[in-house]
Amino acid sequence: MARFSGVILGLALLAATAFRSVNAIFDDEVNGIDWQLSNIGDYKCVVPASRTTHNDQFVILSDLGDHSLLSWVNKTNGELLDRLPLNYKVEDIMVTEKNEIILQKGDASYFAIDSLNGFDIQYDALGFISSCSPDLSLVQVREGKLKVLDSDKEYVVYHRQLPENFSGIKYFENREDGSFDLITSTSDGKYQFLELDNSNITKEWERDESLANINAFAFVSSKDPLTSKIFSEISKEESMSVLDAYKFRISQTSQRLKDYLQERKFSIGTIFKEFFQEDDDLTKLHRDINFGLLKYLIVATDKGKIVNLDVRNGKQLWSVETGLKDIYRMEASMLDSELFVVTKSGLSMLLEISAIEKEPFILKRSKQLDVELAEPFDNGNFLYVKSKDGAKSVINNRVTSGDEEIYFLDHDDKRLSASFLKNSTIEDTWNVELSEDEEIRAFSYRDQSPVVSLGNILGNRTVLYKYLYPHLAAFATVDKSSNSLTVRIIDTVTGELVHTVLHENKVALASPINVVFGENWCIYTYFSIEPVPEQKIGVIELYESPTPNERLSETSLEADAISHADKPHIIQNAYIYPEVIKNLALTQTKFGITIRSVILELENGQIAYLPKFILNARRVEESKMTADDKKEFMFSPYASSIPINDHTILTHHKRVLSGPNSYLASVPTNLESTSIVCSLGHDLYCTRISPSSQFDKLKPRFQKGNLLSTILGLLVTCFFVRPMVDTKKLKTKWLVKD
Amino acid sequence: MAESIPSWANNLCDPDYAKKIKVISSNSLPLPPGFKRASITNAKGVSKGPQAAQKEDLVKLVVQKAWQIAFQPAKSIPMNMVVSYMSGSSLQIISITTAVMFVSNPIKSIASIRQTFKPVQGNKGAESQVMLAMAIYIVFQIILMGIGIHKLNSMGLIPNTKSDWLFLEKPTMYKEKSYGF
Repeated sequence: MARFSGVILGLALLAATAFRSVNAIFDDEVNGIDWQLSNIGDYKCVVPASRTTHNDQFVILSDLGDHSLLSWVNKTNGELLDRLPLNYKVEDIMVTEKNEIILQKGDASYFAIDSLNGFDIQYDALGFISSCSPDLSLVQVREGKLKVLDSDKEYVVYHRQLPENFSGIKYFENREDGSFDLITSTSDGKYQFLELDNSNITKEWERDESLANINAFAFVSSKDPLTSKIFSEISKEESMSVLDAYKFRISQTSQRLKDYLQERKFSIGTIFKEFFQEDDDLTKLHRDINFGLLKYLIVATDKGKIVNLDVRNGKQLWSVETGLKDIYRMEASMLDSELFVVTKSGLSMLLEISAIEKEPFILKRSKQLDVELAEPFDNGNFLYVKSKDGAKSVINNRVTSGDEEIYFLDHDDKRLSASFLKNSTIEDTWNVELSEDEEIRAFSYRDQSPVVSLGNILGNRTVLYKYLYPHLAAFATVDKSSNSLTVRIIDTVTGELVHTVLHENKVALASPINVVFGENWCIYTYFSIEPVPEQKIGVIELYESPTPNERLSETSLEADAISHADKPHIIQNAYIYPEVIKNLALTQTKFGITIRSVILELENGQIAYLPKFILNARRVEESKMTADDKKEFMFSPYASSIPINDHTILTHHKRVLSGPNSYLASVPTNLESTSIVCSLGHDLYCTRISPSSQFDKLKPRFQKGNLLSTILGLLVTCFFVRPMVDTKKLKTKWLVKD
Repeated sequence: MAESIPSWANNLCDPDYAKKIKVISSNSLPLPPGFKRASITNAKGVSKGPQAAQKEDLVKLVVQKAWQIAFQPAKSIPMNMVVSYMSGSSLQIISITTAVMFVSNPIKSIASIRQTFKPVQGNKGAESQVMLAMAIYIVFQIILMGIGIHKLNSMGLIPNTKSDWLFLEKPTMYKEKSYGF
């Protein structure tokens, strides 16, 4: 009997693990890792979406860069329903009784759209009466108070104290039954809506538009006490002998185990319960800090507001009004304890942010001449400043050894200018002036993250050595007279031209041109009209030599950039992409082992990514591929057009309107597989990306229950089967039949 | 136990059982028809000629046996070649273990070569021939190992190319720093 019960129990346990609920097909993280702040911007005009009495939507006109944006907002709760970016600038709008919105452009030409669905409609020019200026005859603003009068202007129907920073009334509609709608604005970019019926507030909401249009940003990592403890332990180990270090590590780890058990009072039940229950918020927070997923995104808006956001969910932690409308760079320095803020007008500020969740205070303010360019470098410890008259200087935020040789290259639309710093004096070295018709449209300095592999490993296990000379930059210029694009790669120390690519196929000058420079490759995008209007992506790769296994660079420890004479072997290729690419960025990961990817912000408001192995300059047609080529990692035959794979769209159903001056940034987390990507501009959007899948992280739905119960089932089965086997063996020895 | 103990078990335990068994000497039995009893005493007296011949026969036999042992691994060469060809060069646990076994088995065989050749050793006359057979045996084992090594190499598991040691190479360091904006 015992045997049967044991086997049945074991089988039942195994079956229980096998038949547990099937897990979700869709990744449950998808909606948890990204967030978007959809902004409208400054309300230029607010109109009702329809003239009917049951209208429940507003149409709001605002600016998106140089063009206009129409937004539909739910009147009941202030929720944004839809946005329609226009490709022209609208000066004034009018809503007709037929639910048409007539848009007046600056040159007095008109467009019309349906106010309920945003479709273009035919417009027959009638008299244009602006709907933008509300009739404020019944509203009085006096001595910080707002009063609304009845239609005979005899009685005050409603009055309220206005906030200090009240800036105006954006919308007022008085209906016949005496109820009215009111939208007021404050100078900090907030808009308040009120609906009053018989002097009772029936609806009320507020929209915060102060975060639209980001001028500068900085990422600050959260401090993890555990990581710093482990770091200090490892550095301690380094000073010991191997045996002592081993003993030390064992003692530390066992101490940690002891603490863990003591915390749970040695109760196995508690540990098991903890293991199976859903993680609470505190554990999740600790894990996010540990994995480096918790970062603080500090942004500065064009109105001078500096806001700290939690990069996981976009929650505001604090905000300060600086009044500086031309903040142009921000950089966290001194191990993320200080924030350096630089403005165009030459003012700079140092904010203390070591208590990152608390409001910062100003440590120092300084003023330079009118700066044309101010760039912090070396983790914000130095500031490179170029004034309007071309004088360059380097400002030290702290004292360091000054005998380092540092080369700088800065650029504006027309020229590149290089300089050289030694012993705290800066000297001009060379500059490149472009011809009159030429203009620099994109510039990218070579990515300086550490190099993991010195070469590409080919299919026959030979190595094609990468050209890893660090002082390189790429820039793209357009020639307005011939509509051509030139991409040049230049040595930033000597100014030597390394490579030039010329495209004369009628490049569309108005569309965006981007360049990024990774370790030994440069990717640029442009739109050209000929032979077919298409978005093109060019790839330039630099190798030491075309022959595999041939290394030309010196293996000695230190080389000299000035006497550096090796020329790269260049391979290039071009691809076609189905959407217009607005912005480019490279993914950054902690160690650079994960496959590098290019993040593409598309003109249609989507953000996609392409792994570098797709944008490979060495791809050839299938007929030309050898058997060895096919063995190379992720090597695929050349196909000129790159399709958009749905899995590579990071924004999935969302649409990011980032405006023309947006930033696309990637920051590494503590997980090598994962990088945080943010698009900051008119809208704010952040997500996480794992270009080589999440190889260092278990899925949140990892079946640890199944795993454990299988092990447990096997143990129980063994427990019952073992004595049975022993008896059987003994009986055989004694020649005893059952 | 209710069952009776088998009689052979009883006999086995009985120390006097062996003495009780009646032994009939074969000498006392009559020979089958047509057979003559050989005279052992006669054989001793005969000259040493046939004995030497017998010894030579033994050497011959030992050498033959030694060569047989030596050629044993050769028989598995075609077999191993077919197996290694059929198992493909994809990196899977089965094909990796087969390939590793192709290499490790010959090493084991060579290490236990004395054990393998024990039956034919100890004969002074055949020693040189046996040594030669052992050498051939080793050669065949090395060929077998070669098949395994070739297999491992075709799977890319032997670090014999530059790409395998790329991680040890250091990039060129430049003493200047540069920044571009």
